[in-house]
Amino acid sequence: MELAVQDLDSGVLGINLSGRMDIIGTQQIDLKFTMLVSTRKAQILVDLSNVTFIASIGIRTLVSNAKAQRLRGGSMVLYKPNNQVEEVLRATGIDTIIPIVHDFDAARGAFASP
Amino acid sequence: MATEMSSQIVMQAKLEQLPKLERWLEALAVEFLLPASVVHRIDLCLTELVTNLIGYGYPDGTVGTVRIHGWRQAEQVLIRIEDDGVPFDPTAYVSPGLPSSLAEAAVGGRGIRLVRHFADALHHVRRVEGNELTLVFRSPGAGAHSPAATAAREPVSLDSAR
Repeated sequence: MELAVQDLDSGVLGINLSGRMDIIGTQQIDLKFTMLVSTRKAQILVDLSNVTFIASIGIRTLVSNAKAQRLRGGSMVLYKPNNQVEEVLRATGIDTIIPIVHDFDAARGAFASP
Repeated sequence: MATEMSSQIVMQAKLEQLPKLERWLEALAVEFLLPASVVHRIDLCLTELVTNLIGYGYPDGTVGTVRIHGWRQAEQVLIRIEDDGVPFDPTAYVSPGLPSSLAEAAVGGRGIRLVRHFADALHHVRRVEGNELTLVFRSPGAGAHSPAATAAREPVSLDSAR
């Protein structure tokens, strides 16, 4: 997997993930992702549009970092997962604890009312 | 008369072997003419179960052997995973409930829930030397792309996973 960082409007930190988020892919980005998400308060938009597949190990990384960011007083949203990735996230109820959004306005709304 | 299609892979229970499993499934998908949605469901279940097996199936540190057999019947694909690891029956496993809030959400423990959700049926047999788990995935007939067939995910004759 690959991870790229992007400063978005309104001070939102964009983290673009790409590739297959199984155990091998997740191990490749986990440390960097955790450093970016969990070490300071921020509004984090995790762009999943180039994630082709997600397994429970990838969900674990998203949930643990969303929890850590919440404890710091910030928040995280998941942006534009493809249909299959979104189906997996919804099957585990992730959409009810970390907002899933498909456009930037919805992301802003989610950050305004975490 | 249709001939039953079938394919097998034997792999070691090691993370480095997961890409080999991916390639096997890609070839199976082509051979069986499977729609992308069915391939994804099989991919997810196999990934979860084999990852689980690698992590927990061999607590004594041995590297196990996993045999996976896929075959196609008229409207379904069956995948059988045979291992030589410790007993584990995912049909009897009680998954944690869905989280009510981020604060209360468990960090992990979602793999078996996903398997039960994305497979149409699961059937486990404990054998002397390991486990035999058969997964059933409903799929439209070869070459057919009927959305109705994928939508109709009723439990089939094996023990329902849900």
